[in-house]
Amino acid sequence: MVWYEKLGSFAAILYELRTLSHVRIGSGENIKLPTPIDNPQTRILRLEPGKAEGKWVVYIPASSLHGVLRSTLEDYMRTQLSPYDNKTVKDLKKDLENANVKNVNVEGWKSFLERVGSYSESIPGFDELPLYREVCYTTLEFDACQVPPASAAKKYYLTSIVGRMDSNEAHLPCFVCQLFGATGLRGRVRILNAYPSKETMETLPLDVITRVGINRVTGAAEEGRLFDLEAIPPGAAFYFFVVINNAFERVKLHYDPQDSQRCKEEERYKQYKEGLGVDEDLNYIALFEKSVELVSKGLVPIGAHGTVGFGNVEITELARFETRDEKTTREFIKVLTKRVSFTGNELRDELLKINEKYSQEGKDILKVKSDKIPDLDDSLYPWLARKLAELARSKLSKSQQSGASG
Amino acid sequence: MKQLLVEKYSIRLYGNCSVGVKEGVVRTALDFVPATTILGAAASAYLLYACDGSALCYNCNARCPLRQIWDALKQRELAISHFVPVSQQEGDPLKEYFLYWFQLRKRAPRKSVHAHVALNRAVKGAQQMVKVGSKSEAELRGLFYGDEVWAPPSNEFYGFLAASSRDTLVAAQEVMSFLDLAQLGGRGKYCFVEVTGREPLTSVNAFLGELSKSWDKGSQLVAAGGLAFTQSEAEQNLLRAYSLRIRAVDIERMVPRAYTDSRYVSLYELLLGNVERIYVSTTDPPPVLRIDEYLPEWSLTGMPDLKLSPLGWNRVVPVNWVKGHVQAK
Repeated sequence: MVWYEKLGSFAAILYELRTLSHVRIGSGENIKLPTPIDNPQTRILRLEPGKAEGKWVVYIPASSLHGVLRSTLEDYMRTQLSPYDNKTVKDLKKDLENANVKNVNVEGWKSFLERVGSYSESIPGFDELPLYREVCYTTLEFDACQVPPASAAKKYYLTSIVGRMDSNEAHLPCFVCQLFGATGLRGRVRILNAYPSKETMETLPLDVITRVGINRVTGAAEEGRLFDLEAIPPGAAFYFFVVINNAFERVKLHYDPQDSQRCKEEERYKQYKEGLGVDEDLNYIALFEKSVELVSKGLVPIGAHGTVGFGNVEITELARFETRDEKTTREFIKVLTKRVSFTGNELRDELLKINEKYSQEGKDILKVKSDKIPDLDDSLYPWLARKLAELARSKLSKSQQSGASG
Repeated sequence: MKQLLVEKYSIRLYGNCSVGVKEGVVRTALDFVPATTILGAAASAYLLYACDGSALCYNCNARCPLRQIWDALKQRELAISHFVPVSQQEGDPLKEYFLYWFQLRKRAPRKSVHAHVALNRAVKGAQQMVKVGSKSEAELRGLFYGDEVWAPPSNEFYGFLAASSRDTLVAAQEVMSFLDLAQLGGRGKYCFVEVTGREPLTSVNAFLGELSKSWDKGSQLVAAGGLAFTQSEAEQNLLRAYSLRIRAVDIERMVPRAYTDSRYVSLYELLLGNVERIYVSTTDPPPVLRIDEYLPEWSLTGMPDLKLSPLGWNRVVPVNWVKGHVQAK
């Protein structure tokens, strides 16, 4: 399997995340944070330049964003696509019992079957669970994509039973793992923590919510069930930065013997595009944006207490750098890697120059999607995010000036 | 190395970053960024973002900057140090760098633990632990785990590149410029790197002179940043070391093998060939050695003859030098 080893396209995107309801990302019980609340909201220490003392800043961890975007895409794909050969776990068990595979000894099968069976207790209706080719259950060990598969039995399952293989009969991970990564396979998406804007960083209030468990028999408050928790209030804005390598590369389809026939593969791409409601092409950025869209529509909550109204957010893209072909990408990256040797505004000027060059060909590298671009804090956002925000603001002010003079 | 050109590199990390070892379900963070991590991250970004070669890196004959630095590392014309947290104290960066290893209890990076739990995709709740047979803790990590990460101000690190020729240094600069785009460490997808400074060091000769004065034949040396040697080197009893606790690292299990059809490369495989085991000494307390010969430049290049020296290990300084400075502080 040849993976993404050369960069053919690139996207670096700045998003705004605005809370529509309370949002709570807990820090765990054993983390020492400056708060007396039972269940504190997670915070990060931010230092003043050159000082050892700092302030605690409320933030949304990148791993929570990554997790929610990933699981949303998984859910969406399972909703929109059909199970592979309409298989369920029950069929899988039958398939495994009848399997006759070289290189898998009796112990290997026994162990694999034992692992499949171990979920029967913890997942109600486990036998009816549908199995998909395009999306795996990352938390079910037997079904999770893995490169290379840990055992011959698992390889047989991944390639022959759920069809996740390439034309060489090697395991090709599901669409979601191709984008977000799997065990042994680096994902294409990198996400930074979401921090509040510079202006609100120190003033962002947190709500303290007190709750109590009700005794179902007496209807009164249950003793010892009083607790409080911290949560981010509705209306708070956070900003996060995402980089997607080879963003515009098409998702790799799993092998189908009919693909060798003319146009069959294109037909499959078309079917997937329609099935998944993707506008442009079935590429990695399209899948990522679909996931952002679903979270942003409030279909999936972020963080804890999602079933009691917490976690609704709106995510808006503010600006992005994007390159769609290898030539533009290489040229863009070349400028970025000279950063350390540039002084003053040289990097900004070089980026503007290259953007100008390609915008004349209709291939803008810098795209600004909002008229409010925040000033990002030096100590929390990396240079590429800061540069993106700076250039986006400069582009906006130019267009406002030319609009005013026009 | 005949003549040493030394450059200081400073980096700042953004997001949740760490390099460490798994201990149970928690990935602990080290007190430094290993040279191999820095080099591997830069090289990996270089391969992704800049490499034009069509052949696999192992077999490629192109004279690219990456190949140039592989060769330089093998020939010991280039050495990279581990990166340590930026010192809050002003002073000679080389001195501060070496003293760091002897003041770990005061200056070790600030760390915090981030706990994660995976959501069970089938029932939409937190994933429960399912223990089957001899399922190990390592396997449970995928479900519930913690990451110890470096917290500010310990998100700023610095280290050194020492090269014996201008050409090698330029090649290394070219590859290191990709560090800005690299994923670094265990949670690389949540970690962004920024190279905040690159400057030639002018104080090298003065520093080496100071080390030279502090050593008399037969006096003790101490390894800043730990010792690392391979199985064959350990068997040779090359080091008459004491106060040395050694942790054996099984490289087969520690380093994921690059795919056979991949352009990505394993630093260890390139430099060491088929080495089965690497032994790494602990850095706290630093291992003390008694060796008959000593050259001050070993503080920058590592002890000669040990294969892992160009990769940040085996940098020794006289115990007397350390005592003088630590007591003075």
